[in-house]
Amino acid sequence: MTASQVIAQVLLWAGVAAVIACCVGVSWFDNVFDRLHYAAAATTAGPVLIAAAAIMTGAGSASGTVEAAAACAVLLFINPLVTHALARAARQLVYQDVSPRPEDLASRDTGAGR
Amino acid sequence: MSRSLFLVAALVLLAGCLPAAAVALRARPIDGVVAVQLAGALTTLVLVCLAVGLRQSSFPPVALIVAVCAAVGGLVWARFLDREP
Repeated sequence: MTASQVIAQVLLWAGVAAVIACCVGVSWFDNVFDRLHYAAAATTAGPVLIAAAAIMTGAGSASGTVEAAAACAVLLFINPLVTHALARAARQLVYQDVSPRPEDLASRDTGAGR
Repeated sequence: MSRSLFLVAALVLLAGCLPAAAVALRARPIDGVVAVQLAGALTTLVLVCLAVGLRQSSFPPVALIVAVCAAVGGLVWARFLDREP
């Protein structure tokens, strides 16, 4: 294997490991917001690394490689919108209100946790 | 050799759908939607790995379509669940 193939494999398996870790996180935690946190992470680090590995190796043709990279780019740039929408829906379902809670405003005013 | 490892990676990513399926089957609907979004991302990455491993030019457009449709579906589900009484 050449150096570029080794680098592509390192990127590929780093991306796979990141995605699998996020899958374990989604199934491990019970809170919907924690699950959303891990599901969102699965659409950032993993696709970037796997797309880099795919670009270095090639997907059969130049157009195929570009389309594979575009699919990963869609995951990277569009899924934050979906994460935000799901988080808003989850907050509406769990707390019946999307506005900040009094304890959130109090901690912000006092600077607690900084 | 390196391309066959992409096929192995696709199998490993496919196995990641099992915990997502377990969450979708057992948890609340909102948790199930989160798991479905994760499965959509996994499917996209599996198709990308298959495209590289098999050197088939037919897989990348499917991966792109799956990524877009999964995102749109997630937004529809979020809107639907947001309106739930």
